[in-house]
Amino acid sequence: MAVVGPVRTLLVAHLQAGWNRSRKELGKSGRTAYVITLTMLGLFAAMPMVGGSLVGGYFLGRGLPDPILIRILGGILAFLALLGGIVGGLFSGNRTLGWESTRIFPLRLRSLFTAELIAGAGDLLPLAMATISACLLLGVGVAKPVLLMLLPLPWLGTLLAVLCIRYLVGSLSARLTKHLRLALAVLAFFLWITTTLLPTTTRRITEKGRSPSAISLQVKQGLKHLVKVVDHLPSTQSVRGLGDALQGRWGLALSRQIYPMAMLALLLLAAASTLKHDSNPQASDPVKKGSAEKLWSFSTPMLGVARLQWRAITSSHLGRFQLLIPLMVLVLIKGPFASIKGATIWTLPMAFAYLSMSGIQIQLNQFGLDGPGIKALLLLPIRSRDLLVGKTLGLLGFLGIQVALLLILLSLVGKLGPLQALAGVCFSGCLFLLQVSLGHWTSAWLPRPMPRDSLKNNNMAQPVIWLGMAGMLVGMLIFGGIFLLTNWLAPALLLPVMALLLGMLFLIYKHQVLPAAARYLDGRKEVLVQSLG
Amino acid sequence: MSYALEFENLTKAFGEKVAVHDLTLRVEAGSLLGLLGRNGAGKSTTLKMVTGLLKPTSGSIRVLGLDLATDDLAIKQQIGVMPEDMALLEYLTGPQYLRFVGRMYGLEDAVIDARRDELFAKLDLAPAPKGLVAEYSYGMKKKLALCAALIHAPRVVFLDEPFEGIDAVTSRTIKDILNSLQSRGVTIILTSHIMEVVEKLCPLIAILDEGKLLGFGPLTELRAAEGADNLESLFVDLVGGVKTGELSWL
Repeated sequence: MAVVGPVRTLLVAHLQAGWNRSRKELGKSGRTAYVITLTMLGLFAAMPMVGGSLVGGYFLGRGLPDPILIRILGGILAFLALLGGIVGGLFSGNRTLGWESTRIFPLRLRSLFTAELIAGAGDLLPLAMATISACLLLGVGVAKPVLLMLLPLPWLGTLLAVLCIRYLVGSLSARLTKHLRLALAVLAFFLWITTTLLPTTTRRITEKGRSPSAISLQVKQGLKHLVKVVDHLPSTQSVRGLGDALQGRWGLALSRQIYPMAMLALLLLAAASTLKHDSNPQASDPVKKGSAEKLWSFSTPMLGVARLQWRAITSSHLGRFQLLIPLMVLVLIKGPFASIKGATIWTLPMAFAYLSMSGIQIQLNQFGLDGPGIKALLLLPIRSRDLLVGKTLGLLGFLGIQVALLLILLSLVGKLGPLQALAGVCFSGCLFLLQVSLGHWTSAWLPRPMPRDSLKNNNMAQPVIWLGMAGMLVGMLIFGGIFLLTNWLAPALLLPVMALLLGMLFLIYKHQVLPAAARYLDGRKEVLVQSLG
Repeated sequence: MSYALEFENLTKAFGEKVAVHDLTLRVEAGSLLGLLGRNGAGKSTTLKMVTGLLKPTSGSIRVLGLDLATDDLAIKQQIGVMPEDMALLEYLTGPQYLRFVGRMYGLEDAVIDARRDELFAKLDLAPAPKGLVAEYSYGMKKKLALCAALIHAPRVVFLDEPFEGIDAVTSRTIKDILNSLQSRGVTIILTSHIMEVVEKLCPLIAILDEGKLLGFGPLTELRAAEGADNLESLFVDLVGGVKTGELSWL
């Protein structure tokens, strides 16, 4: 009898579950739409990405072993690993496999870790980073075929680094969100750094160096520091080894790979020990604190649903994490954005847009946090329309808290006048109405249970993710465009124009969107029960 | 004669699989009906249809004379349901959950709290358990689900496997509650795999198999017609006997 390894078994089960779920959820027409969307994305995003990386890699490879090009290639590989790891960890969480169902089996930690890493490589960002780095290095290989033998090393290093960093960041953010106070303290520290130290440094630079030669000196010094950092990156050392191989020093080329491999081993060790902690059943217990005993009272079923939605969001890790977004926005505005020329005109709408974007997982999957409790809701005597309005009010309440926090923070650092603030609120409201309207459909079309005790939100169906991104883009282009144009052409009219826009959208929502969405929900209750219950 | 529940040619299909097939049934108001069947016989699907969680493929359902297709809200106002998997809002505490459910039925806070205290005392849940429903034991969740199904004094109660995972004392209490409800004219429809309990509790029996109604009527009449000694024999005979034999590798 053939013995199948546990890693393969875990991965096959993961793929089968994903495939079966997609087949069940999408149906024939949904699959067709999905294939069309993927083809379009492939044509307009993946193909240029692959082509660009190949060409870029070819030109970099042709110039090797030029020390500057070695630094550039090493820097790009490190950037890809960090970008894929940090963004992937923040937005997708650390887990890809469902561990709860594997706890009863005699499974070694090594198998679980390997399976988790391989499954994680199939997620969107790691996949994109792996593709870009593979194409880049393949381009180098085409330019210098003698390097083809060595190229798998930096590629594997980049891919494993993406996966380990993603895991570590996802786990760290989940832990921080569990302890909201600690997360707030950390963010407050960063805020203090950006609001005090950065402006001081900038001032010092501008005071000392008013002449062009002084500025150029400052830039040169900055670049020197950057080069030092890049030189010490493991990926740069790995690429430097490629340069040595080109010069026939194969022994040195191989020995240069020891440092990146050692760093990678450290990363793997850190990720494995984090996984060991996370896989402990105690670590993934549901949120037990904060279960206030206060009993609610409400006058209408609609308000009851709103109160329930509010509770579901605020007691979930994802919701708690989103309360940190206003602080993050401020850090961005006071930090990196502050140094960009002409940023003042678009930082405000960007801040509100970013805030609205942060809630998109819950807005597009409005019943997700209810989980099996959806049955309890559907058994109650409440109309679909009231259910949707209740959900919207709950979401609006939460956004209101986020907006209020952002306004307080912005006014504290003197970035905001009252008219601009109100216009920003209207802009935020426009984006909210658009996303919630879209969410009424997507929530009934492809509902997915959302974990309350984890930051992992990639549980959303792929078509919903693409639709959400498209909706967000359209909203930001239209409403953000109107905001920027009005602010540029007639600043005095900014508030009236944005208020008028919000009012129009509200009327469309109330009279057109809501009745249609309620009818759609009426026909999809069975799907909700099957998918969430 | 007034009927609490009427199914007319009720059918539910999931793709090619027909879970409930052409079911026609009338239950008088004030009855206590035991709905029996093997796993996958269509009991839970039937209950899900009558409580509005699933849409029938064809046929009609009337509850207390109201058509479910057009008067679902009025029906929901008068029925109490305990689904098989209970379906509670697990991120609330027990008292919060009952307050939520009670308010949804339009009850005053004071009424909800008084009824909750009474139910908790009766079901051995007093003092109100601390913590979220997610932390409750299976039995406690079951009791809470029963409280939620009864708190608004419904006229028809649907209970899917109410005795599963419940201790003997609570099981007895639930039986007492159900008898008391029936004596006040409340119609009760329950499913269970525990034949002894159903035999003692339910004067009216319906047996489903592969989505079809194999037998329906007073237990005494069904037993007499099939010449069965008890409900278990009647059930096994109707659904096709027991598979015997040993496992080859044990």
